[in-house]
Amino acid sequence: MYRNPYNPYSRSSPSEESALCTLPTEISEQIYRSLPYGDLTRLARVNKALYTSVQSPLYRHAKVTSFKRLTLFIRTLNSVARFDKSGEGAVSKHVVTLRLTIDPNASESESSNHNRPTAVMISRMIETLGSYCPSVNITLHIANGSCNAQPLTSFQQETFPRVSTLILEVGVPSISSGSVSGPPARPSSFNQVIPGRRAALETYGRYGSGCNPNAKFWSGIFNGASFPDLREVEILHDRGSPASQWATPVKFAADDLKGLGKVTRLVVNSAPELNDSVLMGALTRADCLQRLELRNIVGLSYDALSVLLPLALPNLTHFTLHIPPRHLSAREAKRQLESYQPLAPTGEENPLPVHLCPLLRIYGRNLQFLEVHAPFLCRDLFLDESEKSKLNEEGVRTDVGGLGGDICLSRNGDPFLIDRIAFEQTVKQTKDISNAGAISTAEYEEEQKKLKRARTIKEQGWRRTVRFREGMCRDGEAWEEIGILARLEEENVKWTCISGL
Amino acid sequence: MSEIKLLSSDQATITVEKSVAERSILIKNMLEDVGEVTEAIPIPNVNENVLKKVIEWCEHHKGDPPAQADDDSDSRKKSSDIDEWDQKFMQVDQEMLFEIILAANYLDIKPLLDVGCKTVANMIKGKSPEEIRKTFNIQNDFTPEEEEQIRRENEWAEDR
Repeated sequence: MYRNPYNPYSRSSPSEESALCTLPTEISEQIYRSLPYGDLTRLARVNKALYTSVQSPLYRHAKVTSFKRLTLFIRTLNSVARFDKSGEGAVSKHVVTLRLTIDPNASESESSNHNRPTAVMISRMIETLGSYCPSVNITLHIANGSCNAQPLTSFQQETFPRVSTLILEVGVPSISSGSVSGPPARPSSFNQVIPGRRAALETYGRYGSGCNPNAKFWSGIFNGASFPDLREVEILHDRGSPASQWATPVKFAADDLKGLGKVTRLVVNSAPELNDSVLMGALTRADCLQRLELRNIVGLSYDALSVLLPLALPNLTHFTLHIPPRHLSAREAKRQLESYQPLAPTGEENPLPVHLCPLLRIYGRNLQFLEVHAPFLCRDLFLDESEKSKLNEEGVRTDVGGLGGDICLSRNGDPFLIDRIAFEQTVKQTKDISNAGAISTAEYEEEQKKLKRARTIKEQGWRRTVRFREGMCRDGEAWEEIGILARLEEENVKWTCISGL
Repeated sequence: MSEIKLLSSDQATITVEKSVAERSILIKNMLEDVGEVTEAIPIPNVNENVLKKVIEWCEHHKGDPPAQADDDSDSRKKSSDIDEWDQKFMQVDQEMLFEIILAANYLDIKPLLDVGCKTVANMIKGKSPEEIRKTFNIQNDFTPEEEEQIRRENEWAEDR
């Protein structure tokens, strides 16, 4: 028997077809799932059978990780297309999904011709890909980009068909700001900047990297023409530019945000381009939005958020809101809430406070997922006015907290605590009374709706996470109360309450 | 402790604990459908040697928790995470290795199929085309020009 000296376990002779080449497709694809692309490219060169079998893992769900690789990828598609026309039997590349990552600030050492990834070049390549694979689904990820440089600055002038997900990791300061087609003048990283200029660059990045709320930034993404197939957008901005505080209000033209109507998921992290005026301009246009994540947006005030929550939450399934610590508007809202006199006339002396907690409770009731990190939150996330009145009537004291909700100590050093048993009983009773009222008056269909809701909650595993970054909305409220209230919430809704930054 | 009999493709009867045999989803479903069986269950695609080997694996793993549903989210799975016993179990000749993989696929034993596939992936990893040919006894049916053309074609995905 022939024994392969290279592999002593092997028994088949070279004349027999190797089992590796004759495996059923589902098995060979499972093997290939464990292999990096580099190994797949080497497998393709082994023989014709393996070349054919690795086409699917290599091309069906392709990942192209740089601009240079994109140019090579497109070269391959072009050359295969030429083969096909000549009838020489080349296998067409069937790309179903493409994840394309481009770093505009990447070192150009790998590129022989020093081509920069400008919007026009990326657009042409994506159009070429779309012409060969008309149903391809593209995720375009701009990593390490700058808001005021290529390719972002020219999104508006170009078309990127079949891009359904756009991820912009931006915020790197651009020295050649505003440059559309100029030569590359930017550093690939801070360390590559001439030491003498680092301080200036650092200041520039921190206090005004040119990132301000502006219509061009948003319309380049959402005008509906540049990214006609866009469904999901992530704008992940570098933290640190407070530019939006001095920005003038942004006004959008009718078509500027036309494409927002098709977007189902929007994530915005720390982007100075987003402020109240942008939010107000966009608010009524996101008809299909299901998932919204807003994290650390300095330019959004509580006034704008109080408009957003009632409009957006009833249509969303997932909502994440992280308000940065020491947010000016959060402090102002807390001050107003504490000084508000409900019986006095509302006006300049006694402004109506902006309070997000009741809005989250009322309008976020049907969310599958809610995550709120805010400087100040409170019991109004759980209790409505009638429930709070009932507690007052029953004489159950909950105002045993100190500054920001901290535990208050008596003279002999014992902490003031809530009467848990009385508290739980009263809240339960109040909730039961309202439920009992509903049962006696509601129709059979109402009951069915409730059952259906309970089933849905269980199936989907609804979750709520609230982080009280700095404390309670009003001094004197007790953090202890929050834990009890969370446990008394709807069955199967998992609450996580966190205190601290 | 109930036992069942399995009949291999080469007509050998193997008696095995029912709970062990039920690692195979094919056999488990079959037993659920037909209830108690006294006759040997035919396994027409698997010969005695391979079946014994598969049963050995099932016996060792009979207490394992059920396999997690695979989300199949195109993330490249790690092929290195094979436990030590499984690594030794898979130290067989290539013919047997592929037979085990095919049997695991036929009998629907996902964790065994997974281990088999990872073992083959490890045999491929980091090798040049020529080394892969030698490892698996594969004839090169490309001309040097064709091979170079394919290298160029897939250059976008090559290691740096």
